[in-house]
Amino acid sequence: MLFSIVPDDHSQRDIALLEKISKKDPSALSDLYDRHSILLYSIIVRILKEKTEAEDILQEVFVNIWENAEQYDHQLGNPGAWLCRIARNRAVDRLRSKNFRSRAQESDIENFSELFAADYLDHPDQRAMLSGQQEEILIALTSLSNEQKELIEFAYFRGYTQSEMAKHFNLPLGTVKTRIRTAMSILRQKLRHHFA
Amino acid sequence: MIPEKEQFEEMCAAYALGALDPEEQAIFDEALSSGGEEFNKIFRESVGVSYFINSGAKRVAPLPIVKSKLLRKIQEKNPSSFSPAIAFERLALALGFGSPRFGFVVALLMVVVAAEIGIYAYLINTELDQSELQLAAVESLLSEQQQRLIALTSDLQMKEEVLNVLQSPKIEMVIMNGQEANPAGYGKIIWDPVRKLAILQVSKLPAVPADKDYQLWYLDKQKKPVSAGVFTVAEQNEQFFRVSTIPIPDSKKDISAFAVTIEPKGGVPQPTGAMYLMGTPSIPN
Repeated sequence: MLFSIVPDDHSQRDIALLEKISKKDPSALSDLYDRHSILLYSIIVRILKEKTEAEDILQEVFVNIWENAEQYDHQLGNPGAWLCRIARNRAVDRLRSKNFRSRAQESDIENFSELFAADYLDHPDQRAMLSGQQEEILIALTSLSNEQKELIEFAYFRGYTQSEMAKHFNLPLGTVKTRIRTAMSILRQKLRHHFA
Repeated sequence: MIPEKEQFEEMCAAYALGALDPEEQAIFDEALSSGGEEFNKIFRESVGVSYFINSGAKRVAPLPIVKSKLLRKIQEKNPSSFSPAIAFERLALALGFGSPRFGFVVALLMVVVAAEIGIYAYLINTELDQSELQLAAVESLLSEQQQRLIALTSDLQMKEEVLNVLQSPKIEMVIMNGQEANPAGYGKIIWDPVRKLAILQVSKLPAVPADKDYQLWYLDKQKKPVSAGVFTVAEQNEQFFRVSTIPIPDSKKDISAFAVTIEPKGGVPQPTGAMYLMGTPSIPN
């Protein structure tokens, strides 16, 4: 099942919830969990590829939010993006841990289209499940080259730095940086009207 | 040194994807804080793109128990901030409500409940069987006790009658001794001539066969035997009392002797069997 991205009025609601959480209101945390847990859990599962570990990380993320909600700065993006960053960073930290990384490397990693649900675009019944915004995002993602998609995948979901990717793909660091910048620029242009 | 816009875009893209090398982080932070609105806009858009990358991912929902555990952890950290509503939600989540597993949980609960009912029914049945056995034993014991009570009551009534006879102001008594058929036998006749009640006491008489009875006789002045009734003795050495309105004369002056013979069942008009006891009244001078 897919869900739409969080619009601005929802961001306002999230900001209000974070303010309540900073005052230790558990019902606000419960609401925030209901609004974002599926997305955050999906990101963590994508990174770790193991649901039990992902559940632990999801709990850690919300405990972190409970303890540090006042650190949210709306100048640095909407609350949803902040939450995603916390979840992604926590999951990558776990992925980078010695024990877990060895296990993750043994698993069969999915291909890009499966990771991004882009294959939904090829099936009318599944495509009908997508929201307009989500369909737009998927179309934007599929407009990237395979090399660009691969770098985004390795960077965001596997925790590679640009230097590590350069080494991994045996590419000049500058090439990696250029490809990533170009890919992100394409996406920014296609999705710019959402940031107005 | 503030990087060029293109270099900042590279760093923003890497930052948004979490791929910025550590040594570039300080440069990026400085550029972001002092780069002005243009850099801020690039930053916000890049972070927004990373959020959209997440939004395009296939969704996987966590189990409800995860939220329950989370709320428990939070409660442990801040116990005073929790309300009954949150506690109830935690309980509902722990039970699987609101999740795709709810049906499975309900089915599992039903199976568990059905199994428990089955086990309970089996235990009840077993307990019922045992109870029935115990009840039968108790009923048997009760019946035995009732029989015993009847016997004791009867014995008590008889002894009360004996006592009643013995307390009469005027009683007559004749001792009977064992005869050749049973020398160890012993008997006694005590009677109340006023109320016409008599007690027969026998001891050490052998049990009579099923087709036989002992028969009590008295001999009148003409020494003619007159039947005073029949009785049985079930066990040898049994002490036997019999209280009845025995048709005997009011005064032992009218009696020359008492005797007990063994006769056919129900008694006979005249003695035919062996004599077991016999005694004569002692007439005072």
